[in-house]
Amino acid sequence: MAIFPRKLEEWYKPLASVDKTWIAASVVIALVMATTTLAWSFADPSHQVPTETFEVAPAEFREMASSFADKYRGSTIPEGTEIYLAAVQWAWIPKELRLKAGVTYKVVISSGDVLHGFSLIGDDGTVYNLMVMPGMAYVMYIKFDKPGVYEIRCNEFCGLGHQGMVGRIIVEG
Amino acid sequence: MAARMGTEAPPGYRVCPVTGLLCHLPSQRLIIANYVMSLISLAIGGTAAVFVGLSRSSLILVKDPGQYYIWLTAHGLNMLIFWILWFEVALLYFVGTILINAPLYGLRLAWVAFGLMLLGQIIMNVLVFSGKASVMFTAYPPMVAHPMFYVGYILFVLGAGLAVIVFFATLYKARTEKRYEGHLPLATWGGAIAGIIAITVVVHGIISLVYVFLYSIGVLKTVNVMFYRWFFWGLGHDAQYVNVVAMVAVWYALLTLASGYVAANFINEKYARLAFVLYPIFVVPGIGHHILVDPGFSVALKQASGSVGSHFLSVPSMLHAFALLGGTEAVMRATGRTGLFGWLARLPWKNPGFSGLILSMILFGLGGIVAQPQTTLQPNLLFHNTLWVPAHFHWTVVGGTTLAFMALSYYVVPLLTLRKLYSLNIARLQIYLAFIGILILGASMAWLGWLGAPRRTLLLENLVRSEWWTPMTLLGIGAVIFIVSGVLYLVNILLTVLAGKKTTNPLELVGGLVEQLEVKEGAIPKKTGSLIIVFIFLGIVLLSLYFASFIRLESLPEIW
Repeated sequence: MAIFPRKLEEWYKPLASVDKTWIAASVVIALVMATTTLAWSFADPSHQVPTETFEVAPAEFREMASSFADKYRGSTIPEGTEIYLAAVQWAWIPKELRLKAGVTYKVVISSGDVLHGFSLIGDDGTVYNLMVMPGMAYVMYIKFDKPGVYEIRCNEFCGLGHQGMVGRIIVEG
Repeated sequence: MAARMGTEAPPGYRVCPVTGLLCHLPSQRLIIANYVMSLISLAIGGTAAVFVGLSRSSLILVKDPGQYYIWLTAHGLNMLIFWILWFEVALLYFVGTILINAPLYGLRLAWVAFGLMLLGQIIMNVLVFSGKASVMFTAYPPMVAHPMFYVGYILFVLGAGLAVIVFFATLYKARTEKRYEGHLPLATWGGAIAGIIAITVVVHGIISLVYVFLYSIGVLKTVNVMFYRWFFWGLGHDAQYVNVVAMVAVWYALLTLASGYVAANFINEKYARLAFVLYPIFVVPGIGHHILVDPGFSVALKQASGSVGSHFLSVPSMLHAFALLGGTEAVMRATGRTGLFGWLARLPWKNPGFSGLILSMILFGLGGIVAQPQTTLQPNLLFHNTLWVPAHFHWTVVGGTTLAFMALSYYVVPLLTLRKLYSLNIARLQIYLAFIGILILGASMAWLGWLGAPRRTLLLENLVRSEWWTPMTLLGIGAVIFIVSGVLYLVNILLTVLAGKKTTNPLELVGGLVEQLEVKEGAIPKKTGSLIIVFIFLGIVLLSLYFASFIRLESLPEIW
């Protein structure tokens, strides 16, 4: 009785074959998922969580991103340039990035103050999300195949102006 | 069953006229007090849900971000923390006393726990509603709330921890005093597993909250966000497994009660108890799925803890799904409702215990299915912090846990108050409305999440992407339907307590709630239909979605 005390011999019954079948099946289901994610790390290195990170003071990073933004405002970022993208309350620095299609860029992303989220949303159905943490920078590599417009939104609550943190990546042909 | 039927109750006790169980009256007062607090929290959180739900719908009810984030913080805290934990304390006291004929050991301590939780909740709600703590229930630093907010949080968590200690002391005392024969009932056993997980919740919670409190008052000059996030999720994530385990224990209780104890003989308790034990083994390794896209943690930790650990954490839930569905099938077949799925069609769907059980299991299953890609290192890149996440936990915590708790209260409230349920028809309707509401709400959130819409964000009109409007409308419809069902629940319970017919007649107290099932001679209690159902949903559907999200990841621009 699920709601009354029972003696061992009352509840300790051998597992039926259907029980054993399902125990085996559910372990297999978990194993299939676990194996897939492990294998994927090797199978496709270009769709992964970035692994390169380094520590950086938030105020310092904000400066780096600001001077980067001043240098490239309105212009297409040339191949081989290291891009700095800072999330601050409540904007992206720089607000807009102009990139070339088919080129792999190195993008360093971190926070200038509190915890933020990096969400890339494209008209082509792209969605890609990362945490942006104060004190710790992500180094990511991005390559867009086709021209298009992508929004960068903050998706970690960061204060009252959070919803307005919208930036853009414009990919040119 | 009615082991003590007809016996005189010792002083300070009463004998339940339906179950024959002994109820220690001072312990019963604590159960009721904690339950009342859970209802008050549900009402506050539900009021907030009106504003949150309709502001995330195409209506965009609240247009001031400051107001919206106050409602959102209040909604998260009162629902996910207060309603659930108050109910769970009431549940632990219930399964730890009445079900094993024992009094609560440490009544004064239990009232101290009650006081701490109440004080903590009042402090936090006052600060949240005065706009001094719009930091969400996760309260991630370096953003800080008023320092007293953390004090309130710590008091509440400490109070809950104390209640768990009282529960374990009660179990120990009942065992040494031989209050019951044999082993703990399955529901109590599940409660004890939930209690073990609750201890890890309290430890992690105190570490993270004291840490952020010291930062908020300036004692600590810098704050390590990674440290906080890991330990906070030891609170936030493990607390959800207290909910899961408590919910599963309630499922077993529901099946037993609604079938008039007949189902109890068709549940394999060895299998069920084994599945319960797996939860605490995988719960701490599972914390990592919250930091899958955080910089600073190693990939090895993310995969071991977040992905592999979490996939195995779903195994016990998959096992229980079959135990309960199979148990239901077996009892239906044994009482003459045969056919591969014929038993399902002929379930007593009007019985709130059966409908509550099955519908709560369906929603919890959906929540578990959408959780799998989200807890996996690479596909999580698609879902992290989108509305996919609240889709998952509205299906699990609201659809699963809350619906199960609501269904159970239709049985327990009349038995504790000795008043007939005010309206059985409203209770029947309420279960279905809740199911439809959360089904739609979760589906629209998952849809929005798939399209990249962020969670915890007030999307004012100029911020809504055109493809988001349709699911936003659906979200509002789902929210309204569920809120209506929540109001019906609260009103029905309130009217039962205030105006329900006083009676000690078992037929009146549980009439319509307990099915009259008779086991037929020679009927075979097979579980084939259930095996097929769980295999289709938790095998094929689950893995299809899992692989679909990997395929979608491939269509993205290259980012690594």
